[in-house]
Amino acid sequence: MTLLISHRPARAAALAAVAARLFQGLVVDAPTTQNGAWLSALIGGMLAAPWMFVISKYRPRGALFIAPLGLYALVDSACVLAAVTRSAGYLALDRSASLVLLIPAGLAALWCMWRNGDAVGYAAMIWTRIAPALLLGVALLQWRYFRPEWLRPVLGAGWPSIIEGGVRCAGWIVAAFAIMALPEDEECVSSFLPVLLGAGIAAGLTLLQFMLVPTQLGGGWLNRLDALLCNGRTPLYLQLPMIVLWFAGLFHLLACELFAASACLQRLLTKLDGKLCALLAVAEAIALSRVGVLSAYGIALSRWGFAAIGTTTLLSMLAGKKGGKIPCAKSD
Amino acid sequence: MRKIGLIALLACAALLLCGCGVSGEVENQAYVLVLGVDRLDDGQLELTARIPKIGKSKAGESGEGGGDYLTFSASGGDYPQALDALEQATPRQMNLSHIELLVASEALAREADFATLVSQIAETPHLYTTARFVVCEGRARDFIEAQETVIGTRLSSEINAMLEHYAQRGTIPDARFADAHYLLGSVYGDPVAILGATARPAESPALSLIGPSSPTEGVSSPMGQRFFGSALFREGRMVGALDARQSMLMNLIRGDVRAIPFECDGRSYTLTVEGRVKREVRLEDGGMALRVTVRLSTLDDVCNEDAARLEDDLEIALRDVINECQRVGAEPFGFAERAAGHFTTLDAWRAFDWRAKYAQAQVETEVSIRNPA
Repeated sequence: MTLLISHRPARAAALAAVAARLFQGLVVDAPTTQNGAWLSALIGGMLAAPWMFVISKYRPRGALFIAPLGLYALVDSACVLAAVTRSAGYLALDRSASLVLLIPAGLAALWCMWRNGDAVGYAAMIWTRIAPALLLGVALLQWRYFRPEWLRPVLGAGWPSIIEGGVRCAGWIVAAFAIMALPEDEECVSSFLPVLLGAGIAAGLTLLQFMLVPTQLGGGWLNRLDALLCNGRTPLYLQLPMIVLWFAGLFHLLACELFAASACLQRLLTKLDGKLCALLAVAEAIALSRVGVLSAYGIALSRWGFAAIGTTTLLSMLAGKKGGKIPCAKSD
Repeated sequence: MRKIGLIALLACAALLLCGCGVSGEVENQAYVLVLGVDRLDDGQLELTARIPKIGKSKAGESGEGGGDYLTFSASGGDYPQALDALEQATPRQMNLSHIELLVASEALAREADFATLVSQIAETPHLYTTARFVVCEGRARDFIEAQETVIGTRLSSEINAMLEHYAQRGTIPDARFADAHYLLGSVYGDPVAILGATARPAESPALSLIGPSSPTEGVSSPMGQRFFGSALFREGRMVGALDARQSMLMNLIRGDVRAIPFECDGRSYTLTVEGRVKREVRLEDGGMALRVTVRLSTLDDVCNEDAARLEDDLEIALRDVINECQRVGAEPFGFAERAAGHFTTLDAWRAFDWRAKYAQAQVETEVSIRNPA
């Protein structure tokens, strides 16, 4: 089995993934930018847009490009898997072993990948049509609790923090958009619009969340997750849509990044079967997510993710080896 | 055929939605409706839980439905220990996801590290933080034990309907525990809580908190509890209280109430809020001015002179409420959020020293009343 994905489903998967990843990073994982988080998302989008333009137009394929990209997507997927596990632990009253909580998400992603890339992408496409309806319902029912005053001071922790957050966002975008480097069909778009759109959606979601919960000076990961899922005002009947939005969003993100990692692995080791690559990626993500160092990754390593992948992309382009790039046949 | 099989398979998967672990039967759960926190004389923290019995009690077993609810208490050195002891004391799996009311005794709320306790409670897994937040005079346990169903048959709906009613009248704030938790740790204003007391004779200090013109004074009620005002917080602890009338005016400034009764020259008027109540903060040379603009209407007969007097009286009453809060250093009105808008970063906002300036701020109120008839 060869892991393949067409351009259209890849774009849908990347869009769903980037909105979820930026929201996870800016609101739950590392809310260091406070009220300025939405600006960080937009800055991240603007930083990552040229990279997106380059890979969609020139489509580099060399090992120098594929190997770091796949590895980076794998490490980021492990962070997402860790978030899924902690969220499941929160909902399961913390009475289940973390491995038990990890495995269902890993198996679901594996099953999805074994249906190949278009299944991952089209599932995300369906999700991008369902999620806004769910979100609209939740937002309308909570409308009277939104407090725009809580978005001020508008720059939150200030420009240095916003820019640092923007660089981190660019790193998360690269991981979420790794899947866009995989399509080999003729249809290809030399555009950076999906990145900007994804960043814009994430910025909007961040603004909505900060209008429900005021800028906090403390609180741990689970506290922030609690504030996200029920935010202290949501009646019990509203918590299900919020939980569905959170878990389904994370699941599509996980499937997207794991598929990118598996497909990159198969591009490097062409003799490996796609199903085996997917299995290896899931196993590695599970193993990585259980390593404590990942909690530090969200803050520290993500700052360098964009710079590292951007550099290898440029080096790959400059190397110009045979098969290093595939020109677009047409664009829409 | 294959698609039909797949649909049938997915439909069967819905059977797994109840989970694949040990099922949580309703009868195996102890749903806590009210949770109270007290500080005992020996320094221990006491938790009290009001839990409904599953099914109806037998005839004659309960008086006014009181037998349908049980009260459990347990104490410990700190909150985690007390919660653990309470779980041990409760003969079923304690479920905190349906709490309607969180009650803290006033003595505890006035302790310096009360904010830490609020955070610990809020971070309890699956505790329903949307519950209303009450500070009660005396012991929280006595307050909770006095709680019975009076009009309704279920305590949960009784609590909700009762507090919604009082909040709509404006005599108490619509204070949620989550709001208290968020505001205690935020950079904005201060939270408020509902003030309550166990029902006692009319001469009790609790009832004397209600202003002389309060419509609840001298009322006879079978209720075992009274809710009559707001508890004010500053820097994580309770620092003062507003009576029912002051709470009504506070709710008017916050924009949480649509109509209030107001007395002037021995006559009572019903005033309805027109549009939004405007709260502004002006930063002046080193100081600050707070301004409230309220537009009201009334269907009562009111001549121009009466309207002018009514406006003056209400302006003074609003200023008095703000001044009272300034005196104790509490800011429940939402001025801080507006003042924060003058700054671009949190550091600049913190450096502004809002609290010191708020205490000294000039207060301006503008009330206009018209009779559309």
